[in-house]
Amino acid sequence: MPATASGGARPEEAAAAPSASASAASCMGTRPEELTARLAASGPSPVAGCGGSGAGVGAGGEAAEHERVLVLREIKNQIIGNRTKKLLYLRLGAVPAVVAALAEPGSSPAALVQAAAAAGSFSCGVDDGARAVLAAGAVGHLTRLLAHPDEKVVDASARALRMIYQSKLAPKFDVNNGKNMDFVLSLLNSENENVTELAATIISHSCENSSEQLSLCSAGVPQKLVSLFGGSMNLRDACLDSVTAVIRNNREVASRFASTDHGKGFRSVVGLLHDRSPRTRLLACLCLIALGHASPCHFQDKQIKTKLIMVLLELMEEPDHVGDEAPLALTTLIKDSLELQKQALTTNAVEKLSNHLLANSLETKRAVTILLALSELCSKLEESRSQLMSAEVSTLILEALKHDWADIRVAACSCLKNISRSPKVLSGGRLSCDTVIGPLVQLLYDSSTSVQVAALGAICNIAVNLTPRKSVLLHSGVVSQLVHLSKSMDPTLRLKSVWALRNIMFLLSPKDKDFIVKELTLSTLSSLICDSEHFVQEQTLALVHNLVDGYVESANYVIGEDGMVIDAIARQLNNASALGVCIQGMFVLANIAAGNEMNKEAVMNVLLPHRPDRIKPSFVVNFLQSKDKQLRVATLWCLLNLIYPKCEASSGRVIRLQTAGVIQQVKSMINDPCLDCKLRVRMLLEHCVDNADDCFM
Amino acid sequence: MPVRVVDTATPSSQPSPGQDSNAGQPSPPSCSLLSAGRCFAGTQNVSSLQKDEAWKVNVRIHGCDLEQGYLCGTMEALNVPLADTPVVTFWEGEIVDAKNYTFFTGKWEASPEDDIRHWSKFSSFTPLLSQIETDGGKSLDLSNYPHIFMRWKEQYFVNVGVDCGLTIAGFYYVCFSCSDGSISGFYYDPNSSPFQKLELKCTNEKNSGFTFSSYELQ
Amino acid sequence: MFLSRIVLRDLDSIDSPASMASSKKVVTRDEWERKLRDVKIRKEDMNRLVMNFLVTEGFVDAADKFRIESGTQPEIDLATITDRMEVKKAVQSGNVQEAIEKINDLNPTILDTNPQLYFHLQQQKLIELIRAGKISEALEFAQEELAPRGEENQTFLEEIEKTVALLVFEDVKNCPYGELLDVSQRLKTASEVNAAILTSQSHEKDPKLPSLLKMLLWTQNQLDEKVAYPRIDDFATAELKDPSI
Repeated sequence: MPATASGGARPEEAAAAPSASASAASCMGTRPEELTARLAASGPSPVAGCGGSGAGVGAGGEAAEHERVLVLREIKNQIIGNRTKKLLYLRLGAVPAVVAALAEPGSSPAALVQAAAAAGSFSCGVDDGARAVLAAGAVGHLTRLLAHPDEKVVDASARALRMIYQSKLAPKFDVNNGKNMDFVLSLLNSENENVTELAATIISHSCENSSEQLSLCSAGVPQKLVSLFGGSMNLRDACLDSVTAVIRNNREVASRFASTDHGKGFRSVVGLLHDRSPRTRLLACLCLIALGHASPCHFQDKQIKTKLIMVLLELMEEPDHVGDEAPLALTTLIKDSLELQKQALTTNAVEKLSNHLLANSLETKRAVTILLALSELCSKLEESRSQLMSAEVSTLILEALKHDWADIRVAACSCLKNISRSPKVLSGGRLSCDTVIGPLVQLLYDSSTSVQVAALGAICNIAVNLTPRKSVLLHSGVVSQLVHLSKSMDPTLRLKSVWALRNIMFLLSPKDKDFIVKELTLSTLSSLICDSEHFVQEQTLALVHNLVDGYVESANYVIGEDGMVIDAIARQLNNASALGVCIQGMFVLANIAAGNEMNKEAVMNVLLPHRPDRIKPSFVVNFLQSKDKQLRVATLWCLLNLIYPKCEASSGRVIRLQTAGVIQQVKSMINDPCLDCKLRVRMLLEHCVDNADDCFM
Repeated sequence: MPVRVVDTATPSSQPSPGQDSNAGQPSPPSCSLLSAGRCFAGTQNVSSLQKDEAWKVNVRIHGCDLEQGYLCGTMEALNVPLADTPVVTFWEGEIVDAKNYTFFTGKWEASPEDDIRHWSKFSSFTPLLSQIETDGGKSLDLSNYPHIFMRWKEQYFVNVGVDCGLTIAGFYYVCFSCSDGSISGFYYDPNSSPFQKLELKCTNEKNSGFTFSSYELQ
Repeated sequence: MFLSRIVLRDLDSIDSPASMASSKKVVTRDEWERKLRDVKIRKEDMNRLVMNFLVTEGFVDAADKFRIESGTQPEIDLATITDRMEVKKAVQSGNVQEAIEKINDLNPTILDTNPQLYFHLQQQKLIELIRAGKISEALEFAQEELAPRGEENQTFLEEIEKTVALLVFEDVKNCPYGELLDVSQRLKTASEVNAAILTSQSHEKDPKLPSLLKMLLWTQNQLDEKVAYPRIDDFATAELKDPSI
C-alpha cells in the first residue's frame, strides 16, 4: 500500500507556545502546552533553524530520543480515555509531531510504540482527531510499521490502525484493487492476532458496495475468516463481524457462503450460537440474521430460526451492550415476517420481554429496544396483541407515554400503533378510553417531531371508531391539533394528521362530521387536495369520500361554496395524478353521485365538462382502461350511481355518456378479468337498457 | 387477525374500500361490496314448531383481510323477545378461499356431512358440489366465482350480558352475492332448531346509489 | 345467535386426587452418600477448576506452584498475569496514576474503549487525594479531570456529585458517601480493572468456581420442593446435613 510520505511537520510550526523552544530548563513540564512544545523540540535528527533546545540537554541522539519517548508516553497517558485532553492537544497542534515520530526512520521502537498508541488514541471517538491523524499521513506509516521486526511495534501499529479504521472518517480501502486485496490477505495470514484482528476490521470497513463484497468473496476471504473462529475470543468476534459485513444485503455472496464447502461456514456460525461468550452468541445471531435477509432460501431451517429467537431472548438478560442489542436484533429478525413472529409467540417472547421490562427501569436503552421488539411482535399477530394488552405491561406502556426520554415515548407509541392495527381490537374498544387517548393527544404537542409522528401513527389507528360508544377521541381536542398539524411544513406530519382525520371521519355521525369540516375549513381542504405530496392528496380525498358517505347533505361542502373543493378534485383527476389519488377521487365522485339530481349533475360536469375544445377525451375513459382494477371499479361505481334506475334524469345522462364514448368503453369491458369489474359492467349495461333510450348505438 | 395494512413509510397508493389488498393478485375472492363499513339489513327467521318469528337484523363489516381470509363485524338483532334493547354481537368470519379455509369447518361440532348439507342449501353452491365431492374442493379457483362463501362465528355480546337468554354457541354458513351484495345464511347449532335462515341486503336506501367508506391502518 | 334452551346436565363428578399431604420423597444421608460415591469426577477437571480460579483472580505464584505440582497447564500465559496483577495491586494500594500508566502500556485501547472504567479510575484518584488531605490538589483535579467526564457523559454526573461532596465535609469518614473512602471502593475499582484486562486478553473475566456453587445452590432449591435430602449449606465444609422431614 503506497505510503504517503508526509515529512513530519517542522517543529517550529508545531510549537504553539512561542516561548517553548527557549525554555529548555523548564523542559520537565507536563502541562499540555509544555508537552507539545517538548515534543516539537525533541527527536534524534538535528532540527534546522530551530531556536535550539537550549542548554543543558545535549543534542546527542540517545538522550533526545529518550526525551521524546517520555514526552510521547506522557501525552499518550493523558489522552487515552480523555476526550477533553484529546481536543486540547489537537488545538495545540500536537498530532503532526506525534505522527512525525512514526515517519522518522531513526525512531526507536520505544518511540514508535508510544507514538502509534497516541495516534490510535487520537482517532478513537473524536472525529477531529481522526481527521488530524489521517491528514498527517499516519495510515501510511503505520502500515509500513506492520512489517517492523519488533513485535511490540507491530502490535502497537496494528492496534492504532484498527482504531483508525473503526472511525467513521476512515479512509476508503478499495479491495477491488489487487494490491490492496493481497495486502489484506497477507494480514489475514499473520501469526499475530492483533494483525489479523486489524485485517478483520479493514474488511468490515471495505464492504460498502456489492462489488467489493463480491471481490472479497471471490478471494476466499469469508472462508479464511471462518477458519480464524478457533482463535481467541476477540479475534473470533472480529471475524464474525466481518463475515456479517461481507454478506450483508448481498444475495450472491450470502448464498455462496452458505453453500461453499457443503455449508461448512454456515454450520460454524450456527455452532457459535452455543458459545460461552454472550457477545459471540449475539454476533452469531446477527450474522445469521444477515444471511437470512440476504438469501432466504438458504435459511429455511425452522429449528435454527427458533433457536435464534430463543438465544436472543436469553441474551436480553445479559449486562451491558449485549443485553441492549439483543432485543434490537430480535426486531430485525422478525420484521415483516409472519412466520417468524408466529415462532416467536411459541417461545413466549411477549411474556419474556414483558417480564424483563417490568423488572427493570424504563430509563435504559434496553427498555427502548424491548418496547420496539414488543411492538414488532404485535405487527401482524392477533394473539400477540391480546397477550400484550392483557399483561401488566400494558399499564407500563401507558406510563411510558409520559416518560422523559423521547425514545421511550416513541417506542410506546409504536406499541400502541401495532396493537391497534386490528379491527378486532378496535371493535373491543379497550383502547378508546381516556387513559390511552389523553396521553396520546398530549404527545401531538411534543417538542420532538419523531414523537409527534409516532403518536400520530397510534392515533390514526385508534381513531377508527368501531365501537357503539361515543368517541372519546372527538372530545379530547384532538381535531384542532390535527388540523393544525395538517398545515405543517413537514410532509410526514401533514400526511399522518390528514390520515388520522380520514380515519376519524369513517362512519362518523353527521353532526360530528360538520364539526370537523368547520375546524378544517374548506379552503384548507382544497389546498390539501392539491398538496405537493401525492400521498397527502390521496388521504384528503379519502377523507372527503368518508365525509359524504352516509351524509348526503355534506355533498354541499364539496359542490357548494363556489365549488372550491370539487374544482380541486376535478383538477387532480384531469392532471394524470398518482393512481391512489385517482382512485380516491373517483370514490368521492361516486359517493356524491349517489345523491340527488343536483349532485349527479355536478359529478357529470366533472366527468364531462363543457369544454370548448373536445380534443381531450374525458379522463373517465382512461380510468376505465387502467391496468389497476381498483381504479376501474371505482369509476364503474361512479357511473352506476350516475345512471341509477328510477332517477329522473338518468336517461339523459346515459345519452351524454354515450356521446362521450364512455358507454362504448364500458361495453368493451364485458369480459374484464376482474370479477368485480365484470359484475359492475353488467349492472351498468342493464341500467342503460332500463333507461330505455337507445344506449346501444 | 390483522387487516392488510400499510407500512408507515410508504402508504399504499391503491387502497380499496375498507382495506388494502394487493391489486392484481388473483387469488383472494374479493368484492367491493364486501368491505369495511358496508352495512346489511334483513331478517333472521327464528321459527320453531310453535310459531313463526323473525328478528330484524343489521350487520356491519368492521374489517376485511382477504389475504388471510378473515373478516369481522357486528350483528344487531332487533325485536328480540327476551331483550328490551337490540342485542349486538361481535363476529369473526372465515372466507372459503381454498387457501386459508375450505368448505369443511373442522370444528364447532360441525361434521363434514353437516357442512355439505348446509352449503347445499345455497343454490349457488350446487355447481361446486361435484368438485368438492371429488377432491374436497382443493383445486377450486374461487377468485372468479360470483359468490363468496363464509362462516361467521359470533365471539361475544357487545351490549348485553351473557345471561340475556341468547346463545352464540353456533355459527352461520353464509353465502354472499358479489353482484348485488345480498347475503343469505344458515345458523348452525347442534342445540338449536336447524336451518335458521338469515337474509340480508346491502343498505343504500337513502341514497340513489351505492356509497363507500374506508379506513386505512398504519 | 339463538335463544338458549335450559339444558340440564349432569355435573360430571370430578375425580379429585387423593389429597396430597406433603408427600415428599425422603432420601436418607446414607442413601445419598452412597449415590454420591457412585458419581465419578475426573481429577483433571478439578485441577483445571482450581487453576482457572487462581489464574483469573491473579494469584500468580500460587498458580505457578500449582502448575508445577499438579502438572495442570494454566490457560493463560502466567507472564501476562503478572502484568495484570501489578495493575491490580497499584489500584489496591491507591496508586491510581501508576495503574493507568501500566494499563496503557499493556494495551492502550482498554481505557479508550471503557469509558466507565476510565471514569472510575479517575474517581478513585480523586478519592485518594481527598484521603491524603490534599484538598487544593483535589479541587483542581476535580475541576480539570472529573468535570469534563461529566460533560462527556451525563450518566457520570451523579457519581461525580457524590465524590465532590466529600470535599465539603470536615469529617469525611462519617459523612454521607463516606463509604467511597473505604478500602472496599478500591477493591471494587481493582476488580473492574481486572475484568477489563482479562476481557481485552480474550479471557473470561469470571472464574468458573462461583458458577458451579451457584448451580449447586439453585439445584438444591429446586430439589427442595420435591425431595427431602441431605443439603449442603456450608460450602466451605461441604457437610451433608441430615434431611429434615
